[in-house]
Amino acid sequence: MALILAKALIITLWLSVVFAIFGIFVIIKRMAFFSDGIAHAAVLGLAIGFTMGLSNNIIIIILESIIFAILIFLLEKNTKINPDALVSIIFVISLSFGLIILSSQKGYQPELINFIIGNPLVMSNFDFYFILIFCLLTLIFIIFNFKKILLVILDPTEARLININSYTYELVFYIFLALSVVLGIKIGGVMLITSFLILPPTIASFIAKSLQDLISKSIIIAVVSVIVGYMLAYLYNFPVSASIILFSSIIFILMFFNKYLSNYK
Amino acid sequence: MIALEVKNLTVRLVNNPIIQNLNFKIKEGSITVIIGPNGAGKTTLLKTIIGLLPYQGEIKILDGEHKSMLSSIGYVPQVYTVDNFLPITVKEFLYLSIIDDKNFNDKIDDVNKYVSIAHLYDKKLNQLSGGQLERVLFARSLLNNPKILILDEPISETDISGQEEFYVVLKKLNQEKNITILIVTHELSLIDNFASHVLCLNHRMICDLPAKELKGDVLKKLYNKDLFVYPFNNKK
Ligand SMILES: Nc1ncnc2c1ncn2[C@@H]1O[C@H](COP(=O)(O)OP(=O)(O)OP(=O)(O)O)[C@@H](O)[C@H]1O
Ligand SMILES: [Mg+2]
Repeated sequence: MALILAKALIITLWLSVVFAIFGIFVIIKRMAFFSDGIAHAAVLGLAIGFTMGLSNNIIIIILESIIFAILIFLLEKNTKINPDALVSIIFVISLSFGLIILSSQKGYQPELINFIIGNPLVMSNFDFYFILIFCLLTLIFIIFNFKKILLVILDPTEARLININSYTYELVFYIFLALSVVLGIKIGGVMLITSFLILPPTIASFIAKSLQDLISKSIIIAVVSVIVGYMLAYLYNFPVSASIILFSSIIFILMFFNKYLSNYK
Repeated sequence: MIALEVKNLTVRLVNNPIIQNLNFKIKEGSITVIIGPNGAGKTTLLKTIIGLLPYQGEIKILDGEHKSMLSSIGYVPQVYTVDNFLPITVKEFLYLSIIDDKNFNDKIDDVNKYVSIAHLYDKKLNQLSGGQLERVLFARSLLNNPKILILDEPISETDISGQEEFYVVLKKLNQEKNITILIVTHELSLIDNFASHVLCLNHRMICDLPAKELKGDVLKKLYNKDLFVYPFNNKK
């Protein structure tokens, strides 16, 4: 039991650090809905994996998310369809398709529920090491390319002038984001995973004095939320993901009032 | 040497030809002012030169192929939208644009000798005034030692003393670093004592003249109206 808990905590911490940083880009680029869409669309991957009787449907889900990330990226660049509408269409097609496939299978319900609300306590060894290595690679990718990704997102014109290949960087960012989101489903579930991206940077932005400060505070807030969330879950038998998000939401609300009400004093 | 050469340039936006069949050359070390009415295609021309828009025709920068020479350009856009969420400081913002990280502090110190921005380093980008932001964007355009500066109404919100300072700095950059300058402005009165060359644009090229030779009749043709702008109105 202790081992399961430790593993779950480690994975949640790693992922939430990745999310705390990626979230900064997601907020600037207004991609929260992209993240939500990719998460929902992953139900199709789950259904396919389940039907094929695969014990590790994670591979199918990853492939699916890469395909969707590239598809959304290409359609966004080459058509005039509004990006939100695009994500929405792709996500409902794959979600409904996934649900129909699943409903034809027996015994899919527990799996689906874990998928929807997230449960880091149910995790195969394969998933554990896979996510661990993925987080490591993602963090390395972010550390070496942070400046370039941020400039591409913040000011594509300037990025282009200083010879950064915006197209490639943006595409790689879409893919990494989609991958983190579907792997994050293990901890946050389809429904809550996007808030792991959005809440820590948003809370941090209330108090950050600089970009560097934003990054470190976003990470600290994410880590503290995970630890407190686990304690709440352990003490009161709450679902882990919901406890984490509930705790960060409370910080958000407090900070929000502190920031906006203090203007009226 | 020729800093910029444009041959038979046509640019279409949503199938409307905004720029038609433009031909001009800009000499290295010159200061060229582009004037023209609102909607004439000035910004479109600059955006095409910095590689943002597809075009027909040919553009050469410093005798090299267009796309490969873009990093020799420093650019200040006409409008810059600052992100409200991101608490990035001015110094961090400048850091993003540095190609070679190693000598960042030396580089901003060097830029600071021309455009004083040290007092703004720790301010947040989204808390700057319009004029302060223009100062930062101008400083940023100098960070990677550009050979050509392309400026699109860079001081429309800068106060009068700042404007004067801006023109002095441009002259200095031009003389000390031999930077070629291409600037869009509506300040006609400055052409006479500041620029070496003037281009009048209204979708087509209306004039391509040494600055001293710009006269009232050309302006009348460009703006379709008699103008009383000193000092051109009494130069027939
Ligand atoms: N993205 C766009 N799509 C279609 N038409 C555009 C676009 N951007 C600009 N235009 C049109 O191109 C023409 C030229 O615009 P441009 O911004 O180059 O003018 P300008 O000379 O810079 O004007 P101003 O002095 O007001 O800055 C205008 O008629 C404008 O409506
Ligand atoms: Mg313009």
